[in-house]
Amino acid sequence: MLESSLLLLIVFAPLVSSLLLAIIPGLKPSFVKSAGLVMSVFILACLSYLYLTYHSQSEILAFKVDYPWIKQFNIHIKLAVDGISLSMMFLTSLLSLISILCSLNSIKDKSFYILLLLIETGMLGTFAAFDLFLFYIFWELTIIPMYFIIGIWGGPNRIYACIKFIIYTIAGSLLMLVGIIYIALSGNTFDITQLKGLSLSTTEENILFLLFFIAFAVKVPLFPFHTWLPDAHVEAPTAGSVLLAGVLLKMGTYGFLRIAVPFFPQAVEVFTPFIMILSVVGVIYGAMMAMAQGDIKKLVAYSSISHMGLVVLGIFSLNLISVQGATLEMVNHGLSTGALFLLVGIIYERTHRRGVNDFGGLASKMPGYATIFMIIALSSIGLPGLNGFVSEIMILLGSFQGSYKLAPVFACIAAFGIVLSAIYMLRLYRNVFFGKITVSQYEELNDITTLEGLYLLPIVCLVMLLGVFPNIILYVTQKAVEFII
Amino acid sequence: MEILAVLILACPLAGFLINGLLGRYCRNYFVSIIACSAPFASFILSIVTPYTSAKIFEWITVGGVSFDLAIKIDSITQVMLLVITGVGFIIHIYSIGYMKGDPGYWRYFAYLNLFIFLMLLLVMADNLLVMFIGWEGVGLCSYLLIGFWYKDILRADAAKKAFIVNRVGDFFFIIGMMILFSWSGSLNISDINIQTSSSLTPLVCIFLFIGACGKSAQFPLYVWLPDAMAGPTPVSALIHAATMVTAGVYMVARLLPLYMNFLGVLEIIAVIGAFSALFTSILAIGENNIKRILAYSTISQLGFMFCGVAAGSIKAGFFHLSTHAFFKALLFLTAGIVIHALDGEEDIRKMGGLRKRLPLAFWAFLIGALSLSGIPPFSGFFSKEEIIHSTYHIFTRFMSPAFGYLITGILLLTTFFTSVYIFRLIAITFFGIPGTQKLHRTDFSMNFAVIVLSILSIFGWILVNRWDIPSQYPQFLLFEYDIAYSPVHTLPSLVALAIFASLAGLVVVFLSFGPLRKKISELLTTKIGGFFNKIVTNKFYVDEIYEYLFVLPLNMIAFVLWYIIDQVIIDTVLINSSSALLYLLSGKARKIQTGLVNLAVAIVALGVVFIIALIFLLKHA
Repeated sequence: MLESSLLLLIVFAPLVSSLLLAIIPGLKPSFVKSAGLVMSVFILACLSYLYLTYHSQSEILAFKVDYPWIKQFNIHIKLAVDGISLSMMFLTSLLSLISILCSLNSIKDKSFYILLLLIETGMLGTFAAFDLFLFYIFWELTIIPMYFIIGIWGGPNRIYACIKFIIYTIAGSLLMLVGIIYIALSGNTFDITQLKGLSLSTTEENILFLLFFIAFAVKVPLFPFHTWLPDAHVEAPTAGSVLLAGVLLKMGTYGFLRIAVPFFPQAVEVFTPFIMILSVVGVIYGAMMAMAQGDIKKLVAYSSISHMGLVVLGIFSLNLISVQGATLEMVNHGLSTGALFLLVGIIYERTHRRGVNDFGGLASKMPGYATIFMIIALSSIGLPGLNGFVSEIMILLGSFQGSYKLAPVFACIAAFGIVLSAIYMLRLYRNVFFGKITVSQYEELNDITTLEGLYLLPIVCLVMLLGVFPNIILYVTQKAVEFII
Repeated sequence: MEILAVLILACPLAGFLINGLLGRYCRNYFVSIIACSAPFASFILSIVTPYTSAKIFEWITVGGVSFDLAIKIDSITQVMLLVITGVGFIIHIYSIGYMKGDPGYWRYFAYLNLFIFLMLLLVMADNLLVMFIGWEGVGLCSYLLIGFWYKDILRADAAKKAFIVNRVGDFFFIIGMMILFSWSGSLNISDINIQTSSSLTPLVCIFLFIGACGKSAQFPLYVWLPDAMAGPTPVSALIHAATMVTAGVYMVARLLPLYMNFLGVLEIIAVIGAFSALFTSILAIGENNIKRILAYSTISQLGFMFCGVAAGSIKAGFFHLSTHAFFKALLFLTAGIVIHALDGEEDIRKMGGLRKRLPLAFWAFLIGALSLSGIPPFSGFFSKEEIIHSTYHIFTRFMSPAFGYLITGILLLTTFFTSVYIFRLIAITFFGIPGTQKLHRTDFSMNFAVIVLSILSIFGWILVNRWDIPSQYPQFLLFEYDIAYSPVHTLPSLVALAIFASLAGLVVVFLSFGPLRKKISELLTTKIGGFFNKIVTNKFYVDEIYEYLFVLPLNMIAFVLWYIIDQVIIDTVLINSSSALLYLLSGKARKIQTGLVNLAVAIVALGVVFIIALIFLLKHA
């Protein structure tokens, strides 16, 4: 019971605190910053506690909270977690804390931190909501603050980027809304746990699946719905990029796992070949695009598209190993890509540049930075012993045995992504860190500060820890994944 | 006993952690004591540890499948352990002198210990996926150490090339594992080796072998190894000659029961091995960089090992692997002394007459060269004999006589070329007119290492012969193999032929630098001679071919795709034009909305209205 109320607190505390911070007049920015920090540390601590107590729970869905909200439509505030939500929420709370830390020096406005807390509620809520309407509200709650974060604190081309971002994602979520309402109409419930009993005709099922699919695919983003992502990333401030790549993209794949896959089995069977093709194309195409980029942030953004393609491939291969791999990859990608954006942010803050060819020889001036960048880059290209490899190889081993007859071919093509990722990542590393210092002003660059070290350290530790002991997550997600497939 | 096996791994890991985390704050002698004692401790442990297996912990568990971090020590693992820790220790000692005064001293030794750890993990792993940790891990160490002096961008490029070419091999390794796993449901090596084969097994064998070609630098994936010589010379000796590059040979030997089911695959391995051996021995003749000559030589000798293993004779392959580790490490370390003395000069044309000025280096290099070229009674002779004999016996009897003669013939021809390139190197470097450069003093630790390896290059074969290398996997081999292969079955004529080939090479070098000197240079100015000369010195243009065949097209395609699909089709045609259309349609509304925030509010409001409308619909439905 304590844990259930804790879950309620975790989801709504950031919302309440952000509203309070917004309403109370005359607060100093430093107060807002520290309030935000305290709140995110608190949430992280609570989630760690829930994570540790989860395995003693007998049911898959733990810590349930259920209050009626809008009675005439049977809408509830229904929160609960299973292993997948719990690991995603842990990632969310960690990255939320880090995104506040990484903005402390560069962004002074109070409203920025208020918006970050708002997004945190949205993200945590999306992963914990077991009522479709609530799920939708939380889903939307992440989009609007992100829109402002990009639009106000973004780079020079931010207007274009944030309009593109919002048009894509709002279009997607409106489709989802239609789907949600249709489901509610036919089943008279918004409860996600009760959707399995829906009796839908084949056509209905296919159409509904497509509505949800597009909404989630835009979010992931799956090829060819991806062009908003590079623009949004390039213009977003570091914290925005970290949350976008680290958490918001995972909401798409989480949606597949939570809604699209379990409740439309026939449609999934129909569309699987098609989706597998898109995801494999995404893996290769994203990696090729990353090779062609001259901007480090764009490069990382395209590498995300490649990795997320792999996650979708894993999900739709629908066997235990690949789906487990996909859930693990969601966490791993959040860590490594989040860290990559942080690292780019650090160098951008110092030099106001982030072109692949703008640097050179930084390893001799910033050895600590170069070491951390190396570890994260290796995690991103899937070096065994670090976290990325475990999930990638699981997805590949699993999807090779997928039920669809061309599955082995898709798995082999997707495996080629490991060669391409080595090409773009090592080329980036060579250009930035090796050779002699090219620009004289970079002679003065400082290595990472204590604060930067502080927020990078937990990621680096997790990257290594999860590479050696991935079972920490696999044990927690096991039952949830078994339930889904 | 398991604890001993785990300790073998733990020592170098501890060395890496101590030096990696604290090394920068410590004095150099502390760093070197830690770094050298790690492989030494592992070496002692490797001698005393009996054959054993241990499961350390469950690494990845999904459903009923578990990939365990399990290790196993059997006879061939033990050979590898002794070579890695033994030769590794000697090279660590050598490095103390070679890296003296380098600002990255602690970093260098940390990487070296990390390498030893991962290499040991590779050979001890009882699961292909765990082996793959070591497999890519040693590749990472190789990358870090090739690019150790990263301020020189060419060295950084060489490092990147090594990693990427290896990744191509690893891609096939992964495909091999995927197929294997889909059919056997396990990647435990002990399980795989007792599997009955399926129709997919040959495919698995071939894909895994391509992976081995990447790591062991066989044709067509050999191109990274010559460039890898950009790293510090002890690294070339340890990683790119004695240990890491033999991982491919080890992997094939480890899975030999799987390969044994398909003679066709073994034939492919023998052909690739023999071709690589011959091809690179020719390239070595046209090369003038002392380390690159030795790199080609390594590829060539690895080809010999693959031929031995392909003939089903693990004993021959591993015998040569061990003696090669001795004499090639010796050659590299001696080359290191020469390079060190000449202040970094690697071009043999700028050396000369060093016999008198660096006598120890001369004698050590000569011992290494005699061993490499297979002249008795040096170690290399015995192991090379073993390989040539087993290929001859097995291939003529079980494949076809013609195939047997072909492979044996190529290996004999390679022996001749080997002798030519290595004595050419000696002639140019150590004979001729002495230079006048001031020579740097050689550190004691370097001399010590070279002396120990010289002794091993002469007498090491006696030692290795006493090791318990299985002449075959008894329970798995076809019965006929047992009869066909027996070590005493020596053909005197074959031995004579091999010795003749080596001596002929020596004579050719002697003649071409002595009496026939003029004739040779005339020959190279003729049309045909000049043509061959040009092709060989340009390494058959393989790097250029790869550049135009793979590297440039890949980059071009990436750029063109990005421009056409992302920029033009999706963004301009689909997205921007539709938003322009909306823009036109909403021309009037636009006047009211003055800012960005208004647009957002409008969108949200629209959404809310939409929701409410739908909910009303719902209520009346």
